[in-house]
Amino acid sequence: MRNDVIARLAAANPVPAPAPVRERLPVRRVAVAAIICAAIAVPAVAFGGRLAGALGISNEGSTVPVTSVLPGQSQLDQALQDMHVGSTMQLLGTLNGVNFYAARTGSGHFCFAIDHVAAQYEKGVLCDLNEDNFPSADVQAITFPRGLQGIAADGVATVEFQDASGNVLDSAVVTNNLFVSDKRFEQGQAAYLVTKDAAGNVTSKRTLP
Amino acid sequence: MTDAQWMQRFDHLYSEHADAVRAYVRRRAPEDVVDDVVADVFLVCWRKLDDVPAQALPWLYSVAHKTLANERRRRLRRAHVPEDVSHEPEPVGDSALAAAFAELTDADREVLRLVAWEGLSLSQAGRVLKCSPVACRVRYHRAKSRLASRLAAASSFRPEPRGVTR
Repeated sequence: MRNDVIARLAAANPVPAPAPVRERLPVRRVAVAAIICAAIAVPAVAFGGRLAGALGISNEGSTVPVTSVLPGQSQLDQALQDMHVGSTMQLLGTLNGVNFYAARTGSGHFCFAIDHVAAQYEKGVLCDLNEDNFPSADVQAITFPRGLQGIAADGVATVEFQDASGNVLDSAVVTNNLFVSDKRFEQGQAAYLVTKDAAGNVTSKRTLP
Repeated sequence: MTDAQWMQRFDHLYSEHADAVRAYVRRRAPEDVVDDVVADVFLVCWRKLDDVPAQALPWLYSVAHKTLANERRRRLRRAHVPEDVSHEPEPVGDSALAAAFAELTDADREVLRLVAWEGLSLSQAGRVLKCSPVACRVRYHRAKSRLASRLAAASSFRPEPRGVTR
């Protein structure tokens, strides 16, 4: 009887299999997804335009204290500290209501934070911890993986998410190295991040996690 | 660990266990908080990566357990009606079992869920609940007995089916 009870309870499991992801994701989750994104391995290729010690893009922004970047978001603030972002970041500007901040860590990795100023949870931190990180010949844009929200290298005019078959899922115009789109995707939906120059030529194509 | 090794380990943990953690949370919380709780669990995992044991899932469940408790307290502070935050998914497709299960204490329900729904061994469940294997085994057997007793009591008072005459 008692073992039957456990079998009966197991049979009444309200979530018997791993659950599908919800369609609309609260963006506190982005921080985690972003951390995973940073784990992509990219080949180390020299990138001539990169400036040591600087962001490596034309938009250098204005310096702000890191404590003002994501006020009230203790977990994300802690993530910035864990990533060894220093005491300041560069405010690169605001695009479609999203503030963009960026910094290089002491070890030279590129980190950026976004803050949808009008939304409670639309905030996130992403660091590229690869050996040859943004901006480089292979890494001409860096974005959160669930939606086009990120920073592009000089010379990139548009960015696209493509599915595994190469179909364009979403695209965004780059303004002052920044891009934002409202569309969000499930993990795995977007397979590639593609960058294009002003003439529409593909300048890079990266596999997304 | 180098940064790359750190990322690799976290990436592995997330891809291996995110679905299980999500299912764990969905079995215990309303749908609208699931994503936030799962995100917070993995943020804690990220920050305490050095503390994550080789058998990571019970550790992640333990973090989820605490995160859910914090989330419930947070919602309770904000809720106008306390009942709004007390929702827990219950056993499905078996109303007698669901009723008997609901009569158990939180501690009893949790140890039974870990074994029956998460499929953990008693020693793994003990790691989630921060109790020794022996204490967990005792807790589990007592909880199982109480559930069986309640089910038996409920069935002994089952009304006769309508239309049956003697």
